[in-house]
Amino acid sequence: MSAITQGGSQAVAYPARRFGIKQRRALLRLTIIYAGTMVLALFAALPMVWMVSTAIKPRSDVFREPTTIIPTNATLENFIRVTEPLTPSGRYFGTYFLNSTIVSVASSVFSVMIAAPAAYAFSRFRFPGKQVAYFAILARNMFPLIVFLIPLFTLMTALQLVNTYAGLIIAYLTFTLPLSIWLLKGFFDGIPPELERAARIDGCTRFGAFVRIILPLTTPGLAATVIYSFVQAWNEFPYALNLAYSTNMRTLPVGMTFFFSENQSDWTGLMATAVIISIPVVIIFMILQRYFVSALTQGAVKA
Amino acid sequence: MAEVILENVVKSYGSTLAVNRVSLTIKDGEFVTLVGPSGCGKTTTLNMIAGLIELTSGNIKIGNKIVNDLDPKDRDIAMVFQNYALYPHKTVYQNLEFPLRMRGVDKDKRHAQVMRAAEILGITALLDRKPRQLSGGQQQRVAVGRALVRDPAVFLMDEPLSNLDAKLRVHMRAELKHLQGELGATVVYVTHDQLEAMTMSDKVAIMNHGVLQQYGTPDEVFHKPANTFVAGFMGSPPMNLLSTMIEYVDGDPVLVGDGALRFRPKTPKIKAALQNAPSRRVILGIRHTAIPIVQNGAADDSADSVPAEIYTVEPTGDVTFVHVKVGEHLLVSSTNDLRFTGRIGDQVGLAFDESHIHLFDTETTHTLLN
Ligand SMILES: Nc1ncnc2c1ncn2[C@@H]1O[C@H](COP(=O)(O)OP(=O)(O)O)[C@@H](O)[C@H]1O
Ligand SMILES: [Mg+2]
Repeated sequence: MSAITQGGSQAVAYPARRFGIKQRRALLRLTIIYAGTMVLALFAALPMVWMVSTAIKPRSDVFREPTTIIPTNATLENFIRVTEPLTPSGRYFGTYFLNSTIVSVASSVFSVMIAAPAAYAFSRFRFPGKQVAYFAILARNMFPLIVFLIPLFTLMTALQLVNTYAGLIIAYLTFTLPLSIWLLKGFFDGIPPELERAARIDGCTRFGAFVRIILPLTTPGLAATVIYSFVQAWNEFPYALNLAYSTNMRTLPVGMTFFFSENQSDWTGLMATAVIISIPVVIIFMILQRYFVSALTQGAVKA
Repeated sequence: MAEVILENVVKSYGSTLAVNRVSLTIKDGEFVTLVGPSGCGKTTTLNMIAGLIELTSGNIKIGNKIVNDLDPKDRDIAMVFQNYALYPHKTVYQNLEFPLRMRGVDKDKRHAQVMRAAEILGITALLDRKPRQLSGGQQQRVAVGRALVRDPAVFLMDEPLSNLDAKLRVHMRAELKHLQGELGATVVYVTHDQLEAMTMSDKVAIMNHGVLQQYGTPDEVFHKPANTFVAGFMGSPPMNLLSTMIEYVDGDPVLVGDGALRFRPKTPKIKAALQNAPSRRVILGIRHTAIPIVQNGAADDSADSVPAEIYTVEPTGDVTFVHVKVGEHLLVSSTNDLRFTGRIGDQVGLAFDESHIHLFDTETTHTLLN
């Protein structure tokens, strides 16, 4: 960690006067790196800037020439319109938001709860069929989501889980679990087995050692699992559209398309909805990213 | 404190026998070392005593109770691991406190015991640090501290010193041994280093390929090795082992090797051993100290001295090791003579000290003496 910060501060702390060949070359390198980074950042940020910009424009300004990025008369009117329960455009927003929250939180919680023990078993135990089971899990991620839509739909119909939270959550677990298991297995593999042996000798049961010693060392992995599962579930569209299509079961992304088809020209309303949808993702990222980075830089499992 | 008994302990992994019918009795308060080359089953044996690995067959008793099916936490043992296995997310204090906390010791008592252990090991100043902020030597002390914080019946240590540099290792060797003596602790210690085994132990158990080769005091295993493996493993440089034939001259047995190697024993015990040997081919074992160099000309009991050619000379300060060739045999001899001037190719004489020779059966490799 210190090596990186030192390197970084050296790079900026060049003396202002007397640029030697070496310094000039380093400066050129930095310039190129920063310029490249900025182009990439701009590329990623521009659609979002556009989204926010449109969301706070009055409806009448959307097609006004010349186009402005920073609106001259910004307004929150769009946000109110799409969320106001008593208006035709906003009456389902609360339902959609609740549906999305329930499905996404449940998906990420179940992902961690199931993936952690499963990954631990794959990392530590030998059992018959281990290789096959692990391959089967990974194989799920070799196919696009859409391939499994029809089988899942048939399955959910048979189980009478269409248009239920459980149906959608289970469907989401089919793609969040494989990645979570794979990711967490990597973390467990990096923890020397002596640590849990020591814990068992110090008085823990096998499960106690897992909970008290191994899991705390896996915080970054758990955080990554939560972020990934939540964001995937929150943004998912095709499964939600087909497995939870009734009006009161729709999630936000699905609801948003219906909103758009029912209110054909409401671009500002659409963008306002998009902004609102993005906020929970941003928040969860900001909260967990701190854990993520601190746990990584600690080098928690260097034994 | 308690006695530890292993009875015909076996551990197999599929078709490989990691530990093969090992029986050992470790008395209360003894420091016993399991020693042997890498992969011989030391760690597996120790982990079975700890309860971290299940036995395939056999029994393990701690304090007269069969513990085969007990969890590690219920065996009243403590363990120090080769990589120390300190909990990285806990401070030194929390690491030391953890075994007490898990056993429900109350807070004041925990504090007192942690401070006592920290004091014994001189790590009081480190209590607030995390393991990654410690040097290897300090981590090692904390690992020992975590083991002795709760006064267990048996201490198990798996190569606890092998990650330290040579100087610190010698220092910690003495410190651990001293600590064990003070606490009167029962210790089962694993190492691949025969010198560590010799210097620290009350008893040494030498293993090879999962089989216990010999169990005895350092003196016994050094001076009365049970077989060629023990003879070659304990001691550095290793014992010279020469393949020889028994011939009879005037009815007396004579050992004949390659080149001019001839050795005619006088002691009745050795003569008898040779006469009773199951085969005419025997292995003659002799340490460097028992075949000192007698410089050319200086050889007084020339009748028994064997002519040899110097292969290489290794001065180490107080002792000079002299590798010599007798026919096809390459052996290590030594001299304490600081003015030794032999050079490669010089002819010298070797005096065989009959009271320190060993004889082994070629087939079984077992000793033919006693
Ligand atoms: N989990 C295991 N699976 C298969 N073989 C093992 C396992 N653990 C140890 N072994 C084998 O058992 C033998 C003894 O290993 P070990 O006790 O670790 O040796 P040592 O500690 O003496 O170096 C080795 O040959 C090793 O390959
Ligand atoms: Mg080992």
